[in-house]
Amino acid sequence: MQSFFKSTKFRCILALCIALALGVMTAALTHDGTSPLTKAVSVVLTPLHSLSSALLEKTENFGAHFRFSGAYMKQIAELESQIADYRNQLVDYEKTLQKLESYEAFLDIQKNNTDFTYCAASVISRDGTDVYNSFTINKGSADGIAVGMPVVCGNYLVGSVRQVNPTSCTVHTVLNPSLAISAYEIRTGEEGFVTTDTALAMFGKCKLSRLHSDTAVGSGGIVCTSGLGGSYPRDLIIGTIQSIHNEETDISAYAVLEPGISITNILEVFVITSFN
Amino acid sequence: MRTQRTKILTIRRLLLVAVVIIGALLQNCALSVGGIQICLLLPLSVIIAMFEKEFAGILYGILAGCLWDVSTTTADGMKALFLALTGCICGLLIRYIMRNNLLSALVLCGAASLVHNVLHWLIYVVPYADGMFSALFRFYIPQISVSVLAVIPLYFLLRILEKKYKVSEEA
Repeated sequence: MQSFFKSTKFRCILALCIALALGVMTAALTHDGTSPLTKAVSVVLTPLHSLSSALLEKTENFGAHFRFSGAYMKQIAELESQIADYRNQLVDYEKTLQKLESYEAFLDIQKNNTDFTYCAASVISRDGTDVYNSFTINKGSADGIAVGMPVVCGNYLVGSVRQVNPTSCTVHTVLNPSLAISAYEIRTGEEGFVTTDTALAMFGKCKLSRLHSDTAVGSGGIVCTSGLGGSYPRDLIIGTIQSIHNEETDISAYAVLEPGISITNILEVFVITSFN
Repeated sequence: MRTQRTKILTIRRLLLVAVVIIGALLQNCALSVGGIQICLLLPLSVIIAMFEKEFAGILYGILAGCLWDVSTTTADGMKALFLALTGCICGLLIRYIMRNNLLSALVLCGAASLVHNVLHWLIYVVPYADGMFSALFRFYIPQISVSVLAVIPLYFLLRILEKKYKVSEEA
């Protein structure tokens, strides 16, 4: 033991410890907190640190090539499941937004017509064999629906109920030639009735018939229900005039109308179950 | 043996009912090709009648027609009546005159679709005169061709079902 304390090795270790202690004291006393030894070492090591860091970044994903594919499959499945959840949430959001828009539009008409009672419904199927775009909604006689009740979407008249089952009913749209709706053009006040024929219905149009041959209605005019006959309440918007033509069978004129709403894309409607 | 036969027949019939219901749901959900809505119930009625013969063809035709009548605007019961007659005629033709193969299915379905669509056109479009030929050539005739195309997968599907649940006396 005594020989160790007298050996050169011990003296070297002691000298190193003293040097380190002095370095610590120097670091404590100087403003930058580092000893001269640390500074010397850092000068050499800092470039090496940078090099090793750069190399590490480049080889970061190298190990991924040796990972078991099952791990990736699991990760893919989890990500796909997350994407599916987000998509479902997005679909729900869009549906809710559509419903909200249709309800907001109907709120306007309800404010102006406090005598309406109505029933909200959704379109559940469309008749593929019907060229006039009829559809079926999910409310029926059990909900107070009867044949002939007007069907609206927002401010726009869509059609009327034609066949009623207990829990569903079929709606003839304004594109069906069997409907004849008394109407007027709001600017000139000229009255006529809205109907259609197959040629117009196939292009999603209807017409305001029985106008005077020297009619003052023009393109862009808005046509609303007049309420005559009592089948439809007054001032439901039917569509906008696109062009004026002369009838071929008599001396009257008619105006081609574009319905205010796309009949083929309707999803939510209201059935007006009673009005004054 | 008898109970086994009854069991197989019951399963087969229930499966056919399920196929008809699914066909009705798909038809009403705007299943379309190139914007033309596919009519599935008519080819289904024809093909089922080909395999099950005339009496069952009438019953399945009535079922398919009733499901179709729920969502259509034509007079109630017309589709059921038409598909029942179609099923009966197709079943009789297969039993006595024609062979039960894909070509016969295509011919029978094409003929049934033609009769159905022309009748529909005559009753619901021609009275309104204007645009009747436009509707015929742009809507009804394309629908016939799409319905005929639908026969191909439906025929093979139902043939698989019939082979799987075949009763020995019918072989």
